[in-house]
Amino acid sequence: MTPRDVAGFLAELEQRLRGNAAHRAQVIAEIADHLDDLVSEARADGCDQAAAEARAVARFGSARRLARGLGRRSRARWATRIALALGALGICGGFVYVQLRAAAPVVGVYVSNDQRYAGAQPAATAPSAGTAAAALTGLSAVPETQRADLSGAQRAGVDSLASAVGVDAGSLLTRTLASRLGSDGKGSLSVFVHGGSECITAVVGNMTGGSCMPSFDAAHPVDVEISRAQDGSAAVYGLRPDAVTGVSIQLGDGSTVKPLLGPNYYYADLPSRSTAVLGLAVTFNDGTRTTIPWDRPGADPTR
Amino acid sequence: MLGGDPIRGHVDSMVLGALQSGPTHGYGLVLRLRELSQGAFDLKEGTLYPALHRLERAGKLESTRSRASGRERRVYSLTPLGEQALQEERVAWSAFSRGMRGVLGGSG
Repeated sequence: MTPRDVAGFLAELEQRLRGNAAHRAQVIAEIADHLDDLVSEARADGCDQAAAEARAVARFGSARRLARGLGRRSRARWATRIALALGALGICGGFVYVQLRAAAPVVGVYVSNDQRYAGAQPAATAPSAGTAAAALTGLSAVPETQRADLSGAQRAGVDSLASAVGVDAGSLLTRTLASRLGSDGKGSLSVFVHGGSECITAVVGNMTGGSCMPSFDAAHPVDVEISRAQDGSAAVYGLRPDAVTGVSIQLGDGSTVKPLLGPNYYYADLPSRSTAVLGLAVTFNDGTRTTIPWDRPGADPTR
Repeated sequence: MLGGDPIRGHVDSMVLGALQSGPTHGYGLVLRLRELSQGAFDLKEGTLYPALHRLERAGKLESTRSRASGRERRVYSLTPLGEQALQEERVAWSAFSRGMRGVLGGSG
């Protein structure tokens, strides 16, 4: 049982921590500083010293678990954990949300919690939870710079992902193909696998990112969010298909802002929280341009 | 106030987000998260420190010993990789939340 006093907690933590002496000393010093603050806070709330220490220690949970959480893990162990988590995700289920673009390759998987993005060929084997996990981990193994047209395997990848969460990808693909394919060929297809707090996105088509929104096309070439924070800062950002090669944000004072273009998104800080945004000018990879007026302040102007 | 399961899976993003306004130490981060979430999130230290060390090992945070609150403290700040990860998480979260709104039938 974890001690309820600060000295006892730190002693047990030090005993359980792994790593060299310098690392352990650094961690103990850091935790001790934090406990000092928590004890002072509790004392200021009227607790006596013993109650204040017990309250402070309780916020850290068990020393054993904290020591384990602070341990230095090997890369191989993390890889095993990720594979197991992905397998569990497939077994636990969720739902698949499909946008479309026919006969387009799977070009990547975005695993939000790990902030990883990469493209690769998915495993073209019989669908199963294990296969989905293998496909996803395989997808994440190839560097972003080596993405290629993988149309031969794209459907197998979608099938295996969908099957892992109990959804018939074929019917979804057919339905969305009929209803959402852009006539200009600028649409995309993404498969989103949700389970618990995880959101794994397999992206098919021109996009190198994904959105849980309807397909992108000439009328809806990018998605747009404006974030206006309480500290006075503001930003405009959104997902960007490969077909969109340029974005220019038109401000209320007549100036424009060129956002940072990431592999699957664009992002720009605004001068201030009160800066008005009039719209966006979007350039496609075929040289055509379109201007999207901002007619719904606070919402996506392209919807 | 939320703690535990509702915020599990978002801890790294919350830490990165809380550090965008400037470096601070672990205790400062807990207070900052409480303030930024208007009291909705109470991130326990037993969850925070593993996240801080994990993010530092991943190169998304860096820490230095700095004088804060009258004494030497280990202070964390975002690295360029951390700032990039935060931007990507903003985009992913935006997409996820819109998708959930659509599925749950909320306005939006």
